Amino acid sequence: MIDVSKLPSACFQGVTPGIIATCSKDGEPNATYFSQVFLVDRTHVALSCQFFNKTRRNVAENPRAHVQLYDPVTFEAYDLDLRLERSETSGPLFDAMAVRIDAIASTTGMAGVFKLLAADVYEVVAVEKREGFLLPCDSPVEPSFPPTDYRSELRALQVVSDRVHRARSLEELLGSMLEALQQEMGFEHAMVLLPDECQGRLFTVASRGYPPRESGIGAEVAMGKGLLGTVASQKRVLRISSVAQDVRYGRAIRGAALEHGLGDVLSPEIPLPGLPDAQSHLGIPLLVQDRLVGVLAVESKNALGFQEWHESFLGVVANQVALALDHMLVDEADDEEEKPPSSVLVASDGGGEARPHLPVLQERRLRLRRRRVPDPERPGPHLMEAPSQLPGRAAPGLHEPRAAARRQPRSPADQGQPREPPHPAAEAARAEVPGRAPSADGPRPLPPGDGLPRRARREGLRVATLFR
Amino acid sequence: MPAGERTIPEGLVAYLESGISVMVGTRGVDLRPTALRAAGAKVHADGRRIDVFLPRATSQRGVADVRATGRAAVSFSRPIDHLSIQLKGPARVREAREDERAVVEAYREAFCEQLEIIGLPRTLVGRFAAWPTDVLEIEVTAIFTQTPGPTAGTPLAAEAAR
Repeated sequence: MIDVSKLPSACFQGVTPGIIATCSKDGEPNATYFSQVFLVDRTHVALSCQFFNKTRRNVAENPRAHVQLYDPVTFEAYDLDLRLERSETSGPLFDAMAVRIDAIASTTGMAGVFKLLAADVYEVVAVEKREGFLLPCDSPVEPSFPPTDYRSELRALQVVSDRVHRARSLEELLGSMLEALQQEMGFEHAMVLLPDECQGRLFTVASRGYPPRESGIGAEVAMGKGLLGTVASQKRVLRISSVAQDVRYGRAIRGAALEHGLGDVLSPEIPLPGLPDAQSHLGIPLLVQDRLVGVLAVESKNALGFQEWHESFLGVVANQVALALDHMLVDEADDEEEKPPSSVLVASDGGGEARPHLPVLQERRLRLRRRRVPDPERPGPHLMEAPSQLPGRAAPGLHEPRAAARRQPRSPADQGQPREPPHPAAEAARAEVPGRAPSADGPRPLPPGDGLPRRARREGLRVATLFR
Repeated sequence: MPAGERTIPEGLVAYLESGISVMVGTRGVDLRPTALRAAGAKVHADGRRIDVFLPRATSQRGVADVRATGRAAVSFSRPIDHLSIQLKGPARVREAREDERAVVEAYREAFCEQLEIIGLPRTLVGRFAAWPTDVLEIEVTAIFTQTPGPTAGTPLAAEAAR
């Protein structure tokens, strides 16, 4: 009985390109490589169709295909005889495959040029390990990638869940959650980003496992751009193994597109988030119903750092965090008149305790207050950036009550004063968006106060905008 | 094409004989395709034919296909940048000569180097069972660019390869 799901899971992670052979109806064989086979179920796999190439034309005429895939951990080969069953252009499978391709396309500056046209689903007619592909080995071979340590999954989930459930503040929620993910499950490098819907950007508000100067706190990512921007805009999980392989593939297409005269429609490449030498990325949208409240992102230097199991585990964690985050933001917004502000942003290199960091959230709240007041000159949602009023990284008013900060009049002399130099990581992330002009809105007067009653705030404002 | 004129541009020979990925496609009389990994290639001096080395341990089905149909396609892809080319033409299979073993072993060494660059350790790739081989001899009648993208599958412009 055929059960392709029993093949090593690493075969389906796109680390080692496989080979596909097809044949036209008039008997002309064709061979090429593919970057990834997606496991659909025990008797079906899917291949992505990005271009109507010879392989696609052949299977349209003659539905048979044969692929050879490789386990990157052992380099063993597996042969699959396939028969094209259907092509999907929407639905969960298509979406899961598309988010990965869209993220790489965006990262390599080819959004819209390089995209998924269809998820071609093949029935697996036969599957066989290719015996004799490797020479016999007398001594044990070191695995190509460190084995994943699964630890005690249920216990770890309980610890993370407890931390999330007991958190009394945003900093406790995010800090303890990231700490538990590291200590209990070995997610060494993780960050949480929150959306700023009006500006169409994500802001890193907590991170763990990064050197102090590279915590990324405050770093911005444009919605729909790069790996995490794609997770946010599509509200879908993105898991990429061996990202260098994918980026190389994207760049190959980019080079071909340039030669083909498509240079005008290409965009600059987007830097990858976080670690410069990360090989695997897993980005999970934090959703409440269908509303994005944040993104949880983990990365690893191991090309096979994240497998389907990690995606499932973090998916459960993300659901809990999303709800907690959502409630907490509403509560904090309601209480902010009475409570002193919390410096929510936390960063840790993984060994020490979490440290208060750049109060970006505080900044978001101040900006939100300005936006809530209707501006007769500028109808609609907009941001009145007031650089000198926003608490900077080392601004003296860092921990002042926001109400007090808000009351401070803005002097004309302040209006042209530049903000304190941004954190290097934030600066790098800002560079993601081509042509972004800092403070493009220009300085504007600070409105006198918060014009909305609490009920209106609770019912009328989306929680995510509370950070603005 | 005039008789005697080479079909494989000079500029492609070093690329085709380097340690890049070599992938073969065949098909049976019933049009069932077969994909297999080859262990290197050697361009004939006449520039019209190419020998592709098929590890005997894993190539029985492909070899049987070629013996039955005389058709094969071979794709080459450089792992570091996916620069890819496909050659097609009438094909036959012959036994390897002992002096070709050095070519195959040199390929395996070069292939290990290529894959090491992209993160696959030599301890793994070096176990690739390359020898003994059969030799797939293709009389090249068509060359296509195979680099992923909008131009994949188009005939290679001769001047681009020279």
